[in-house]
Formats: sequence, C-alpha cells, structure tokens
Amino acid sequence: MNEAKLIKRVKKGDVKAFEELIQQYEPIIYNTCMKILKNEHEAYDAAQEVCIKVWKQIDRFEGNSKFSTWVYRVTTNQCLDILRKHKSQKVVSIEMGNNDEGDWSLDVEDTTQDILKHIENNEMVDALKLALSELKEEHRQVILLRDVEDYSYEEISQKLSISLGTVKSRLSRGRQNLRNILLQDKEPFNSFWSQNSKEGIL
Amino acid sequence: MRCDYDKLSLYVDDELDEAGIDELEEHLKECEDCKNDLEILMQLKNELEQLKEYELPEHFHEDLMNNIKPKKSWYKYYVGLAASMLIVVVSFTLAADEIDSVPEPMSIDMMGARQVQMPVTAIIWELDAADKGVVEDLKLFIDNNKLLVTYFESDGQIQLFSQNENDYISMYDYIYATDDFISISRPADLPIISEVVINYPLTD
Repeated sequence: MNEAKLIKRVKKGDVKAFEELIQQYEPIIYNTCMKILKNEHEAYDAAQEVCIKVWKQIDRFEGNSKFSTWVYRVTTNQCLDILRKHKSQKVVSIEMGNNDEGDWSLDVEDTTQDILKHIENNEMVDALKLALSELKEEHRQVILLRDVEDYSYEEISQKLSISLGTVKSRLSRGRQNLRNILLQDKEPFNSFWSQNSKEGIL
Repeated sequence: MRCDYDKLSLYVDDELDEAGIDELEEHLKECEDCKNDLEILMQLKNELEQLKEYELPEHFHEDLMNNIKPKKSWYKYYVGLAASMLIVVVSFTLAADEIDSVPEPMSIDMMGARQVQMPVTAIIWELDAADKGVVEDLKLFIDNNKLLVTYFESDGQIQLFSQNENDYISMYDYIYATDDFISISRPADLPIISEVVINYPLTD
C-alpha cells in the first residue's frame, strides 16, 4: 500500500496501517535519536515516544511537507526537549554544588541546531561518501573503523592484523588524502565545505 | 618542533602522551598551517561520525505496538469481547451436553471450547466497517471461496471465527485490501484460530 493511502488510514485510527507505515521509519527515527542524544537508553525511549506521537498526532500532518520531513521534525523536537531537560538538571547541580563548572553552559539550542544541520544535509553526506570511495582501500578501512565505528587503535590493529604503527600511519595518510580530495574546487566536494566554512579555515 | 601531520592525527584521537601534547600545543600557538590542519581534521572526524548507522534494537517494534492503543471504539471492543465470550461459553455448554453425539467434524462448538482456553484478547482483530454492504460483500467472499470461517451476526456487529491459518490469511488479505474497513486493533501475527469482530452502522 502506498504511503499516502496508509497515512489516510492511520488518520482514521487504523492500527494495522500504522504498523505498516511506522516500520519503515523506526530505523530512521532511532538513528536520528542516537546521533543527537548519543546514549542508547535515552535514544530508545525517545524513539518510542516519537513513534507514539506519530500515532497520536498524525492528524496534525496536513500534507504540506513530505511525511518524512514531518516525522523528522517530531523526532528532533523530542530530542531537543530531552537536551533542554539535561541542561536544567545540570544547572541545578552547579548551583547546589557551587563548583567551578560555571563555564559549562553551552547553548543547547545552538549545539543541537549544528548537529541537526549536519544530520539533515544529504549533499554533505554524499560528498563525504564519494570522497571516501576515492581513497585507497587500506586508508578507507582504517578511517571507517576509527571515525565511523569508533574502534580503538588496538582493536583496529587486531581486526586487520597490522601493527599499531601501521594503524597510526594509515590513519594519518588516509586523513590527509581525504582532506585533499574534499578540498578540490569542484562539485560535489564544494557542498561539503559550504557547511564547514571553507573560507574560514583556508 | 617541526610541522608533523602524524602528530595532529594522533592528537585528535587522544593518542599522544602528555609530553607530546605539550610539545604540539606549544607549536600550534605559532603555526597557522598546523592550526588550520587541526581544525579540518576535527571537522572531518565530526562529519564522519555522522555516517554511523545504528541497528534498531531487537524488541523495538514489539514494545512499540504493545503501547499503541486504539483511538476509538474502546467500549465497542469490550462489549464485543464480552459478547463473544458469552457465545463461546454458551456454545461450550451445549457442546459438553452433546459431546458424544458430535465427534466429527470439528464443530463451531469445539472451536468455542478451544477459544475459551486461549488468551482471547490477543487474537481478536477488531475493525469498523463503513456500512453493512461491505460486510455482505465479505460474507459473499467467504462463501464463494468456501473458506472455513464461521460467522455470527448481531445488531451492528459480525464475529468471524476462522478454523485454519490459510483461510484466516485469505480473509485477512481481503479485509486489508478493502478501503472500507479500518482496523482498530492489531491482528495477531500467526493466527491459528482467530476471531475477527467487525462493527458496522445499522443504517446504510
């Protein structure tokens, strides 16, 4: 059944149609929550709450934007609320403890907006993926393990059966090459830097 | 210290020792090139992190569906449930009286007997139909295809009991493909004997 038809049925209260609709979005919602909240337990609860909101509030979706955009907004709002709560909890503990963490106060709103910009920028992601694909396999491998999958140097060394020294040198060469590919003055690589103010750096 | 990209790469991974960090940070105060390289390195690292795909936890979907409540017709659901259990109990009593005389084939009464032993709420699929006409069409579909589905009708409601999985699935597919039915509860995943309750308006 196509999405528009499913949405129509969910609006009428059709549980089965909701199940079919939400299953396509569950991984996307959970991934967005993980990237913003960076905590499995919190992301799980937040993603559950988002799915329940989609069920309860689907009448508010008027079809002016794509359904995926609406779901994304519900998701990011949910995560923002959680980050705001963290901030207020942290402020209370600073006041009570009177310690020297007074400069903690990062602006949650700004930080999150930055994260959101990165997550939702498909052009930037596509440019990065293309640049990665142009790397030598041995460089791409260590970068993905270290920076995407968050493996330690030791784990990478064991996984690829290479010395720690080789891990370090491949990472360094790979990162240099990745930077050089992305700094080429052509599309789609310029899209990567439009998010990252190339002029400010170079 | 001379410019050293390898050290910058170790620095962003927090893999330099304390002396190495001090030396590099001193150098960074004077070297714009390395400062720029470091900034780009950190941005790359940050962007790469966003490529990670997290696997959906195993019971996520089940947990969600257990928390999804029908939006309407709660009262109908329980009235329907109570009515079906009453029929089941009455049928079971009749079956017990005549059990010796009706051994084969499996009767509606025997289905009723099994129904009593099962967690009834878990296998009832409740729907609302747009009008009585679509319910008549469903009955026609069941009869024409000789599905092993038995139904009871009362005012504004029809209860359908299926005796085997294939016939249940045929009925399920028919109902689900028809726009005039709206599920107000979730159908069972792997039904063996299942009940479908459909509410419909008494006037067309």
